[in-house]
Amino acid sequence: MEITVLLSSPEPVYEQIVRQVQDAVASGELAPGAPLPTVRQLAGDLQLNRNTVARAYKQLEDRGVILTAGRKGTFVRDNASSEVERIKASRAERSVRHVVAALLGAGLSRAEIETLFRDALRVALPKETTP
Amino acid sequence: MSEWIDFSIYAFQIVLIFVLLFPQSVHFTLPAIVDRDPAWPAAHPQVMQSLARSRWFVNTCYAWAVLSVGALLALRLGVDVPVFSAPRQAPEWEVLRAWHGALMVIGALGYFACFCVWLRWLRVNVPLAAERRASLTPRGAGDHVPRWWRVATELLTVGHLGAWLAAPAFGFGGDADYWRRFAFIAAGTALLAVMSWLWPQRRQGYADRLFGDAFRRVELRVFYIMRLAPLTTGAVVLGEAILGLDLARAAHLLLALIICGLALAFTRLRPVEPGAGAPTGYRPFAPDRRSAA
Repeated sequence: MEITVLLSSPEPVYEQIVRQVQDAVASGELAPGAPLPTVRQLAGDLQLNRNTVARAYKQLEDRGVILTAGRKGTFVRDNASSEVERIKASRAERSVRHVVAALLGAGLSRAEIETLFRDALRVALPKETTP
Repeated sequence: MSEWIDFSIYAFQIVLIFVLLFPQSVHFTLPAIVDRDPAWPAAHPQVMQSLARSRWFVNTCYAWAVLSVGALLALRLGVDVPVFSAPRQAPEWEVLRAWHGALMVIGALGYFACFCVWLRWLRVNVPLAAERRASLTPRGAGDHVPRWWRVATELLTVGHLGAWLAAPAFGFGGDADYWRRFAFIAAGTALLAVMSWLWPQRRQGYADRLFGDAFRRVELRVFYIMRLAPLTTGAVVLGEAILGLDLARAAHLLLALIICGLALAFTRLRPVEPGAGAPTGYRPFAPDRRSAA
């Protein structure tokens, strides 16, 4: 399993690492209990400052995705997958609320917003039947 | 034992390292650049051409090999060269060993200096690409060195240092010179132990991409074999002190042969197939017998 970081991306590098580890956990590429490389190894391979990788690991640990067990190393938590799903759901909910607030602020009605969302879903998921 | 045996082993080692191994470094010029930024060679064709044309490093390696073997041969044949006259009181095998050691160290330091200059040039002229990749699989010595080997190395290391600490209690050594030697051997042991622990975490480079897992396997195994060097030295010194044996000559020849073996292990590496990512211009150390067959 490989990760790629793009230094020219507007997304901070540590967040790119966090996102890709979370995606790997959510997709099952990183199974519960799977070991992760040390901060030194990952920082060396990506040619980044160790603090950047340490910050990403700290954030993943705070979110309950990984567990650092001292000298034994860093591992994916047993319930990491559900934590990642919860994080994703919460992020999606925030994004949708943000969009809805922006649309309401632009003067659109409830019916217009619903139509916009329905159309967007129809474009994004053409094979599925949308109400 | 004939001094011709000493000369042959030392000459073989010099040829192996300064003719076969070190000059191969130039083949890694392009992969090293591509490793930092794949787009750089295409954007700087003139620099790449001048790098490809440059022969001074290879010629210097060959010249050093000729000079070194020539110096040892002159010593062996008893040619009267002023620079050799000073240590002539010692046995000839010791003079050969001292000169071989000095020539190897000077050559290795020269190579290291060239390597540092090259790395500096690389860092200054070839900026790192914005896109970086890394594996999320942790690496450790256990990936390439069997457990029994690692355990045996640690046990031998502890046993060896323990023997040095215990010997004075049985009336062997214990003077200032003994402890000075012990400090030297213990420092070497500790340094190699720390390096063998840190080395698996070395970043994946162009050599790993070219040779695949085989490169790290050879590298780590070489490290674990090198960890036996302070043990061998210590065992020889202890053997001389306790048993009164004179093992210095045999030990040095053995060490020279071991270094030859380790160098040969690197020269046998071949790019992984298929699609090893070997950039255009890369030539392996020798024709691949598998693909030739």
